[in-house]
Amino acid sequence: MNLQSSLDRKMLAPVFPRNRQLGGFALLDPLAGILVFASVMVGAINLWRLAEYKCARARIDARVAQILRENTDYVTYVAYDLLPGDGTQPRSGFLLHPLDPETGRYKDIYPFTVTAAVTTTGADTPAEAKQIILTLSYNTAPDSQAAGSPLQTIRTDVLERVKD
Amino acid sequence: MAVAAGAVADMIVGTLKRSYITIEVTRVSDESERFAAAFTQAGKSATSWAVYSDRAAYLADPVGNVSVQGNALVFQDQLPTGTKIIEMFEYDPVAQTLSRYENTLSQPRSLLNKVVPTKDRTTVFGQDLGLVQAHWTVQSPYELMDFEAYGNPLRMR
Repeated sequence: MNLQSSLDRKMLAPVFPRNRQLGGFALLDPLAGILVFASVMVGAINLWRLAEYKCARARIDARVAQILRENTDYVTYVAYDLLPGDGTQPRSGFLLHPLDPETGRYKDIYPFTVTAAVTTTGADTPAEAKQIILTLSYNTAPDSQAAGSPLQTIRTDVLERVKD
Repeated sequence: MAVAAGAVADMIVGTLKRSYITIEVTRVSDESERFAAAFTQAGKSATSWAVYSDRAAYLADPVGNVSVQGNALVFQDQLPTGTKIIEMFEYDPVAQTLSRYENTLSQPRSLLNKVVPTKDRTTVFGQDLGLVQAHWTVQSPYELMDFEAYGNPLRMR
C-alpha cells in the first residue's frame, strides 16, 4: 500500500507544475494579443497614409502639368502687348478642390502661384523680344496656414516672343 | 482578433475606395485634357473662327451674329480639295454639357458632363485681342476641376 501510495503521488506530482505554467501564460496571452493588434493597426494606418499620399501626388502632378500647359499656351498665343510683366502673377489659386463629404462643398487645398520672369531685349526697337520663364510654386501642405510648409517650385523652359 | 481583422478589412476597403476615386477623377480630368487638346489643334489649322452666343445664333446668321463671348465656337477649316470643314464647340447651360462636333452638328465627337463656366465668367468661350479661349469647370462627384484652352490666333500663322 505504501508503494502504491508513493506511486500515486509521483503520478500526480506533475499535475501541479503544469497548472502553474498555464496560470503564467494567462497574463501573457492578452499582452501578446495587444502587441499583435497594435502592430497590425500601425501597419494598416501606414498603408492608408501611403495610399493617400500616392493618390494626392498623382493628382498634384497632373494638375501642375495642366496648369503649366495652359499658361504656356497663353503666353505663346496672347497678343504681345498683353504679355505678363516681369514679376507679375498671371495665375494663382488652389491646385485641388476635393469634395468635403461632411459639408457637401468643395475644399480649396494646395495653394499655388504662377510667376512670370520676363527679360526684354531691344526694347522700343523693331527687334524687341521677350524671354519669359514661368515658375509655378505650391505649398506641399494642403493648408496654406500650415507652419513650416515647404514650397515646391517648377520652372518652364524659356518662351520667346518677338514683337511684330 | 476579430476587432483587428475588422479594422484591417475597413482599412483595405478604404484604400481601394480612395484609389477608385483617384482613378475616376483622373479619367474625368483626362477627358477635359483631350477636349482642350482638340480645341488647340482646331485653332492651329482653322482658316477662320467665330464665337456666338449659342448654336441658334450661328445657324440664324453666321456673319451677323458673331459675338465677343458666348457658348458656341465655330472653327472653319478647308481641305486642299477646297472642301470646307466645320468644327463646333458648344456649351449647353441647361444640360451642363460641353460637346465637340465635326462636319455634322447632330452627332458629337466628344462630350463632357457636369460642366459650368469657370468662376466669374458667364460663358465658356471668348476672345481677347484675337486670342480665342475657353474656360470651364467640371463638377465631378469627388472633385472640382478648372480647365483653360487657347487657340492659335490667325495672325500668328
